Amino acid sequence: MDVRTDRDLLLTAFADDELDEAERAEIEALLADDPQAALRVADDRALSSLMRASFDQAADEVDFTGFADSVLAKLPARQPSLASRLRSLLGDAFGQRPFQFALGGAVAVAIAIVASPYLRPHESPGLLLAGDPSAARVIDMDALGDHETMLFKTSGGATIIFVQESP
Amino acid sequence: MEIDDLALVLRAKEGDQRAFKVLVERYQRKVYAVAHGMVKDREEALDIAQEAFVKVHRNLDRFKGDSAFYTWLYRITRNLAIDRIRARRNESVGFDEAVGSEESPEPGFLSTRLDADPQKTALRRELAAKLEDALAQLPVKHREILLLREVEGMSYEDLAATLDIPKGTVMSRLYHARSKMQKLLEGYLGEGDDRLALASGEGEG
Repeated sequence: MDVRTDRDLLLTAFADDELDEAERAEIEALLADDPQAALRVADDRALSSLMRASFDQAADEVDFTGFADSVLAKLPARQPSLASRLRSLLGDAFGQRPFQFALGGAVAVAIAIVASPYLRPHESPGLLLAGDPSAARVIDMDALGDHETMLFKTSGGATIIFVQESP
Repeated sequence: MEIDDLALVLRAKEGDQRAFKVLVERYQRKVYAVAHGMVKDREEALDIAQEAFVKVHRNLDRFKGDSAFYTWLYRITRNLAIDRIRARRNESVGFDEAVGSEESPEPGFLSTRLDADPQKTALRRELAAKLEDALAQLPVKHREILLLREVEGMSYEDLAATLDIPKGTVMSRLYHARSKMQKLLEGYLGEGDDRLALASGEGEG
C-alpha cells in the first residue's frame, strides 16, 4: 500500500529544486543516508527529462510556419479605448504637427471665450465666464473621414468643439 | 532586447496586431505541447492552440497583469483541452478519478533503465508513444500538472496560480502524478531486454 508522507512530497519538491534552504539541507542529509530516497529523486528527475524530451519532439514534428498568421486572421479588429486613441492622436499631433496643433487649440479656446456669452447668456453674461481658457481640457477626440474632432471642457463648464482636417 | 509579455499585451490591447503576433510566436510551441499532451491528437491540439490565442485576444481587456501572461494563457489552454476531452470521449475529469496503481513504483527503476544523462537519451518514437499512453491513463488533474510542470517548467507558485490550488496541493498532486507515471512506465519498460535497449537509446545512429 502506498502511504503518502511529508517526506515523499519533500523528495518530489527537492527533485524540482523547489525547497527552501533549510528543507533542502534536510533532504540532502536524508539522501546521504538513504539510497532508496536518492533513487526516488533520480526517478523523478529521469521522468522529467523524459517528458521534456517527448514534448519537445512532439512540438518539433509540427511546422508552425504561418500559425501566428492564421491566428491573426481569425481576430476581429480591436477598437482601442478612447484613452488609447487620445494618446495616439495627441502623440501624433504633437509629434508631427506641433505648431498646427497648438494654433488650432488656441483658436478653439479663443472661439469659446468669445462665443460663451451667447451660448450661455443666463449664466455667463460677461467675457471669460466660460471659464479659464488655460484650464481647458480635452474630453474626447475622434477621427471620422478626413476630419478630426476634439471636444474641450473649460473650467467654467463650457464645451468647445474643435474640428480640423486630418493630414 | 526582448519585449516583455506585459508590454506586448498593452500594445495588443491598443490594437497592435504585430505585438500580439510576437506573443503567439513566443508561446505557440508550448501551448501546442500542453494541448497535445492533454488530447493526444495533433490536429486537435493545433486547433486548441489556435482557439486559446483567439480567446486570449478576445479577453485582453480582462487581463490586468496581476498574474503572469503565460499562466493566464495556459489556464485557457487547459480549460479548452478539458472541454474537448469531455466532448470527444465523454471522459470523466473528476478529481477523484483513480487511475493507475496506488502502489509505489520500485525506487530507481526508471533512472537505472534510462541513460545516465536522460536528456541525452534518444527518445525513439515507440518510447514517446509509451509515454503518451501512460500520460493518457492519468486523471486529468495529474496529466495537466505534469504537462505544465514539464513543458513550461512552471514553478510551484505558477502552478498554484494557474490551477487555482494551494501550493501544498501542487506538491501532493505532482507526487501522485509522478508515482503513477513511473508505475505505468515500469510496466512498459520492464518487459524484457528489448525494452531496456529502447529506453537506453542503444543502437541510435
